[in-house]
Amino acid sequence: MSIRLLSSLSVLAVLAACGGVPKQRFRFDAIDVAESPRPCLVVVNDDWAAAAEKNQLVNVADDDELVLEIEFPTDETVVTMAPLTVENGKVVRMPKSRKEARDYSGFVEEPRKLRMRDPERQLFILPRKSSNS
Amino acid sequence: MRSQAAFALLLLAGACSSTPVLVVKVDPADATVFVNGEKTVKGGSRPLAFDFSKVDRICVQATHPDYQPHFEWLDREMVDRMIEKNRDITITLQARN
Repeated sequence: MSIRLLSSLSVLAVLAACGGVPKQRFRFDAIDVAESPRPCLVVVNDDWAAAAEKNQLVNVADDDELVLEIEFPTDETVVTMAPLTVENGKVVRMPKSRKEARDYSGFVEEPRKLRMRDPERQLFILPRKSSNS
Repeated sequence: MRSQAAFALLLLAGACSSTPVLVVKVDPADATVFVNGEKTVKGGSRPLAFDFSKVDRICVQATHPDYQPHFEWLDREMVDRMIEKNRDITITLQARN
């Protein structure tokens, strides 16, 4: 490998490291159709394990919001608001999929494609699961 | 009278700035409308300002306990087209099963 090629590759690597993946800060909240706070797990790009591990929770211990920095390696990043069942301020069962979230909680999750320049506050309104959902 | 004055003020503000103003109509009339996750006052029909200075899209949502919630994105082009055609944003919620 020539020195010129090596130095070009090094410059590219440094640029990639410095530039990194663009990020944007969002505030997430969830309510039901009657406007009551709904406990939820905020799942980014379908990574359910990471969401649970990082405690990306909203309205579990209190009526609150979750502030998250979302990475945008592409134009859009999918954020899923997954409903939870909470007893005494603790999650009864942590879902590992959209189906589990729906089955455990009786509410319907919502996936949303976000872009970098979308509004900072992202409110999700989750309906109850119907007999055919 | 008060709502007419507020509407006139909003239209004036819209005319003086680049912030477009559109009338949002929702059925049922007692549904709540949210713009960018913030609650607007309940009501069947009211003018709302759509500020694109910091965002590329604006999120409009509506909810009512007896209906399916509504969600839609509006971009500047869509809003400009509606203003050009003198159209309102009409949201009709679907009854829950």
